[in-house]
Amino acid sequence: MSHNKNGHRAELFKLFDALCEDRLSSQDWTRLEKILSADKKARKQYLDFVFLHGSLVWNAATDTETGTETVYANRFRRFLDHHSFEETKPQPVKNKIRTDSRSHVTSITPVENGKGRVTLAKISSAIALVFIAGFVLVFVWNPFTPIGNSSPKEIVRNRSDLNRNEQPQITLGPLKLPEVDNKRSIVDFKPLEAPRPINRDLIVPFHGSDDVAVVALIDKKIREAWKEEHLEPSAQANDHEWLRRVYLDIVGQIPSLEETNTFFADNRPYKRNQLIDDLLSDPRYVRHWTTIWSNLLVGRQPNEDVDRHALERFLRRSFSENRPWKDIVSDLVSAEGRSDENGATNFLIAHLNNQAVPATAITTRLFLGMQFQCTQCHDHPFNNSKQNQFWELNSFFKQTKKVTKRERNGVSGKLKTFSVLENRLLGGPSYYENRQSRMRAALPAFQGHKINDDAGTNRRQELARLFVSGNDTLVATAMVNRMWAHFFGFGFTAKIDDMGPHNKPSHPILLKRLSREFVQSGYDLKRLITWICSSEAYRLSSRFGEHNTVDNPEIGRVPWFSKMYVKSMTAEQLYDSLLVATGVTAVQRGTWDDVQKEREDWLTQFVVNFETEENDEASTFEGTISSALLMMNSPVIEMALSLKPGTFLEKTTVKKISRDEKIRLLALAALCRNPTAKEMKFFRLQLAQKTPSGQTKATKHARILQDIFWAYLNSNEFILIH
Amino acid sequence: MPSRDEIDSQPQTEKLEDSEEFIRLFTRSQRRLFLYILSQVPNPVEADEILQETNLVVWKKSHQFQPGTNFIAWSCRIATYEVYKFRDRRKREKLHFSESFLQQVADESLERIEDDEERHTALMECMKRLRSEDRELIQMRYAPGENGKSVAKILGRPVNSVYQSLGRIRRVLLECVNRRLAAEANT
Repeated sequence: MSHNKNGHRAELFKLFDALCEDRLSSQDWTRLEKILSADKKARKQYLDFVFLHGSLVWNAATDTETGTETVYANRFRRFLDHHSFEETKPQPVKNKIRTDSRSHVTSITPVENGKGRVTLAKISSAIALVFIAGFVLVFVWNPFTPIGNSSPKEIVRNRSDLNRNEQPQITLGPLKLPEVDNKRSIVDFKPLEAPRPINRDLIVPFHGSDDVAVVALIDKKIREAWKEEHLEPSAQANDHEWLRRVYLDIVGQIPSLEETNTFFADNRPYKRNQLIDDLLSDPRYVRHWTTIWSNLLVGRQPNEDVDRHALERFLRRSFSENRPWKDIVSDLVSAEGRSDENGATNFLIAHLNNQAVPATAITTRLFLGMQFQCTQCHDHPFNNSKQNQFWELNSFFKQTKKVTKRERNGVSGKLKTFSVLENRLLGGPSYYENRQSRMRAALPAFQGHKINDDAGTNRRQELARLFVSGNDTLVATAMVNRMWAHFFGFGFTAKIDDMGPHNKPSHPILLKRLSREFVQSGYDLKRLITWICSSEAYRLSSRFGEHNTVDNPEIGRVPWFSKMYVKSMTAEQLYDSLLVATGVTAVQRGTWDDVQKEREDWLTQFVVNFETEENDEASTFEGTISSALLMMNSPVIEMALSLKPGTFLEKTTVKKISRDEKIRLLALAALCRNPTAKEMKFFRLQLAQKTPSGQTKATKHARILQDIFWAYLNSNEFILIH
Repeated sequence: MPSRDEIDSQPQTEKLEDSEEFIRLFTRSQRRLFLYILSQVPNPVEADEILQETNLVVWKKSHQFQPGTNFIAWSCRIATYEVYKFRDRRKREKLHFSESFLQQVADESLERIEDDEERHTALMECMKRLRSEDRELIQMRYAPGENGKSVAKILGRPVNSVYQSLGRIRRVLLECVNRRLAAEANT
């Protein structure tokens, strides 16, 4: 028997291999079935093998951790969309093969991401494809026809469309741009003009002399450290580099072509400071920081108890009025009321589960820059935090309760669900179990300050008060450190939200002084940003100089800010920047809400929820080219890169300007710089190629320009902030 | 096989108020559905075609799905029906497996896709552990639209030697995956 089995095994594997390569003869099939029907073990091996083969096909043999569900769902949706984009009359199409920008998308190796979410909205445009004698008739029904009305017989599809082997592929190989060397953070492009030294006397306008003093302080302290470390800073960033950086950092997207041109044409010596000022009063500033803080406060993952829009309204108002940061924090910590009316309540509503442990942990992490969550179970191994401190802090949330309520709208009669953050009149301690399994009691206390523990004291109001009293508050230090890290990629401590004696800051005096200045300014966020962006360090190039190659925090060293560290765009920055570069908003259909919805759907694909006790989540968006490719897997991006009338690409291709000028415009729109000589030479060669038969010269040029734009947008340089 | 009537006669439930859950289930089920179909129609392109048809029906019948019940089992029943429809269209000219065999495999396949998530994670780990030249070869082979033959052409290697290499790498992967799963089960 065993001999038989071994014999089978060798034969089976041979058959399996032939199966994978579609090389089984009809006798082989019969033989395979015979072995499999008789032997359960063989069937198990068959399934193992088929599943392996199928998974490899499914993933195109990449070794990325997560599943391809979203890609696949998007592909499916694209298939539906594709047909609903067609003319509304029945139209005979013979084995249609698409050759527009979509083909770029379908030729991409599937890139995986975590939990996928797609909308059903477009699916509801009912589709029936009738396959008749080699013809495919495409009917598109009224988009408002509910699904489920068509008879099953009509659902036969255009086969060629989904057949992988027949997908047209446009080779982008030769058009690949030089890649940015991530490890060395050197951006390989030639500046248009030599970096101009900035005359510091001309740094106006400022809000007041205080600002000049604070910037001088930053520069002094940073320079002192350079000297101690024997570092010489990199050169100044040129206008291109700096412009793109400051736009992405302050307003969350790249400048438009007009904005780039305006800036270059500006000859005022203090134009950089002027721009910082302008950007801080730009509506996009409000939007960018609202995005950042709603993600930090409640995460990207949708949560049915949380009214995200109300939270965003609260943040929008706070940032547009430039409310003091301490007031914003106080509101978030002490909020009460309905989730839809008081947007600030949503922060705690999102984290009140599990005896408010996440609320305690996230409050300390975000606003105080400290990690207390380990101490919920034991004393901190590295610093002096004791377990009781965590629970004393937790005790501030003891009175807080989340209630879900329903209400019928007086006009429409619709039931609406909302959450209410209530304060109950409770007093006394919170209880926890220590390592010896003994129950312990903790009364509310923060940094040694005890408060009245009776039922009449509103504990969260007391906590908010304690958070922001004094001239040296953790709230200020944490925010300064966080802001610094936002602009430089690295903060003063190795982890910005894990400060403490175990994690010493690189520039302790500077951090302390800046925090105090921030408190003195009345927790003025815009001034804090102005200080940081006006500093010498923020104006440096992202390229290494000769004498600072050791200043490389990416490999775990202490950052000395002698160059600008390269940051990756966030998913939001990338999406919004693409819209800016491609001018797709001009041709997008639908209402503002539709456009927002599409953006949100696209963004949520990157979120992974860890479902830990602290409500952790992570974005799987890594700021890599593969993420960028995944990003292209969206109808809006497809449209952006199409030659549809109205897109930036289309407008550029039909402009009556030289080819060189067209290429220049594409480079400028995507990367805020001119094409390099090397790129120019290569692109000219492409354009000079013979026109394929059956194509007009104009079509050929348009296609090549499309490829060039695609290559720019897909370059490493696009996705990085340098 | 379940008849069309049987699928249709499921009790009508109220349409999911929030289709989010359905979309989540749908997107998460895709790879498993694909594998389920592939075990019965072991040609990826054909399996893909059947999957797409299954998807259309799944969407159409989304209102019939009862939240809380097994989504995979529900959609696999639809897939089974689509496999038969596909076979009917083929008019038995190129049918490889017999109907009785399919039934045998279908049930076992449904059981086996339960642990697909772990299997998949293990596979990803094993891919990382391949020798780099092996990984490159397998990635070339499984790039969309490629097969052993086309890869041999690209590499300028004899087809048979490429088939042999691919077979060896698949076996390495299979053993690695099974080892990892067994190790996990023991811990």
